[in-house]
Amino acid sequence: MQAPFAELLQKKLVMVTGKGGIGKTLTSVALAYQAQALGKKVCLVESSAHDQLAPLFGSAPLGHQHRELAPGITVINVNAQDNFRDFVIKHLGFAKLFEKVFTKPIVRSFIQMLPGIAELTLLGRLYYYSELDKEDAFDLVILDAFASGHFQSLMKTPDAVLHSGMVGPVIEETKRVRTFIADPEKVGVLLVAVPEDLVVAEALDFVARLHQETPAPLAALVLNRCFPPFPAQKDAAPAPPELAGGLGHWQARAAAEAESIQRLREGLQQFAGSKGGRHFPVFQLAERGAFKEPLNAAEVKSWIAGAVRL
Amino acid sequence: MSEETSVFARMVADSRIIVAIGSGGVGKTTSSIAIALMAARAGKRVGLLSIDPAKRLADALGIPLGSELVRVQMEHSIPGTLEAAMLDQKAVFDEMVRRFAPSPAAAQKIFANSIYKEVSSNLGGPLEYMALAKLETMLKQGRYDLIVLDTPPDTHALDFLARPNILAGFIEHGVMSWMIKPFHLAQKLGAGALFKAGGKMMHGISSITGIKMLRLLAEFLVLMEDVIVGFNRVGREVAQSLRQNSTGFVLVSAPYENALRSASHLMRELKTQNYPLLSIILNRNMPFDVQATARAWPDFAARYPEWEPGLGLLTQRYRYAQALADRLQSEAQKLFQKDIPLLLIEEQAQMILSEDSLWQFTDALGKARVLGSGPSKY
Repeated sequence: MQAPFAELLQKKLVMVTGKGGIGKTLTSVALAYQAQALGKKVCLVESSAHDQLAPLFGSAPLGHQHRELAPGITVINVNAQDNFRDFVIKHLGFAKLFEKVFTKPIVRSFIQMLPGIAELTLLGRLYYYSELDKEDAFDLVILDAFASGHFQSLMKTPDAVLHSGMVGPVIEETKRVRTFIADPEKVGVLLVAVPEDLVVAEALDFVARLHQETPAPLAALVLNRCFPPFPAQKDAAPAPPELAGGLGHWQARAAAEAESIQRLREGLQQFAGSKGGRHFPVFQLAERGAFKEPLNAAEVKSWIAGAVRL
Repeated sequence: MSEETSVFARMVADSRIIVAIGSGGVGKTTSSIAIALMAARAGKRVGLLSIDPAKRLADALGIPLGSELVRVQMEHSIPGTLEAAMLDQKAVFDEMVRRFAPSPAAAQKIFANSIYKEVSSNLGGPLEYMALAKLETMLKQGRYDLIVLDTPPDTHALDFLARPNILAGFIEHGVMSWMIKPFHLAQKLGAGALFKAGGKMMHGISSITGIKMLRLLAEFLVLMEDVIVGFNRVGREVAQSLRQNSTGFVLVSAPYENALRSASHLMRELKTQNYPLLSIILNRNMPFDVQATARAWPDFAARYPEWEPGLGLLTQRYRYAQALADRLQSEAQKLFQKDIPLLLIEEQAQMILSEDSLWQFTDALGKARVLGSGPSKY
């Protein structure tokens, strides 16, 4: 049997998104370990105000400096301003210009105000790591991406820029990036959800909208925090009163999960049948209670290896 | 009155402004609404400002997303009143432009600028300024006993207090004149004069982004100059009145590592800027009866192995959450050199979708367990 996510890990770039606080970051790290086990060289990218990834590897915040934090796993927290500098200096080769102009504090805040610059340069960075970076030669880039709404606008950025009336090298770059992120062979979006009604409803909405409004190909869906099944009622002795709360919670949760999963199946079936829709794999990941920081690599590996395809 | 409710009763009685801060996804807006409802139920005239809230919360209060303060019509009858604005970014941006643009014609020109269209619906940064402007209006009106401000969901929420005039650089450093005005001029003189006026730097920039984009941008900034001046004035005034009025902060968090990380960042920033932290609301805790099971489970585990998968899991989660709550509280204690009440709220079985569910949450907040300031821990 093929290991879970084997197909997904064949791609050059995997972007992990989903509603906030449901395990995107952990899933991204676990995927990186999966890829590591396949002998791949991985670059794990985030773009957050404060490093989320580095502490999971027991490292101090890295910021915009990439560093190998586990064998074959390089981590970076891309900062919009530094990334823009890299873009202007390294990619466009305008070092002098940057020193003269872009280091001025005023211009820095000005860049922050420019719509889409941070998004566009982030995509450029992902494209660079995936396709152009001969020095690091990563086999796989994993983006621990923004929550669904912001991610959606990230994916819309190239088209917005292409339609903005701009000309020049930025447009050429954007075209290349646009072609790249639209390529389902190389790029895949992984949507993380949990088996709760509201989250499932949002996930279904996201699936439809990503497909309609952006070029990014959805590759798979992960249902995180799946509870173990509630044991079948035996004619065992009644539970001690102290345990009633927990057992009731477990039973109710298992039932609610089953319902949400059913709703998800129906929704995805409907999507697959809609115009241009299709099937894609759904994986279930177990609730593990808590992962302590820094992560125990063996624990994370066994968790992701236990993924079950729905 | 029980000790639990008194935490909030005191808070609501002593403050004129309560600012809720916290990262995304921890129930910050819901908590802000609950604080507002609690005060209204205690007979206060309350104003509530929420920035980019989930639409379902606006729906639950029965008011539209927009820029206007709307009197919330409630089915429950309460002695006080609640007026709320669920600020929609674009609506508020438009309102600010209308207010500060030198003329209606200039405002129309700004609305038509394609960069403005992009910025006003997609740019996160100046959103705080919008809320501040609204807050300024509310303070001036003097119609409210208490104003509750729900900040945008990120760890930079306090930036606007630290640097209320972040945009001032545009004007004070003369960027308008050395960078933008040449373009303005160029529009009149024709593009040829542009490079003479702007020099080499301009040439560099234009080769990056394209001249059309720059022209739009120049137009945008020139048009926005007055608006930005207005923003800055408002920002400074409000930051000042936040200090003069009795303003208290409530930190909202949840028992997850990353939520706690941003919580501790926010606390340190509050401390640096010398703002008081009134209390911490820790949402998304396990239901209390489940916590009771988690505490009891080690004594029963050997007898009921078939329940280990679920109950063992719940016990693990409980301990983890408990450790995080303790950590948060002791950090707050160390930082502010006093006990900061930490309110533990059970996770809501039901999403907030109606007025009833908001009241339920409000009651939960009133009955929340207080960690650290009483004799009973958990």
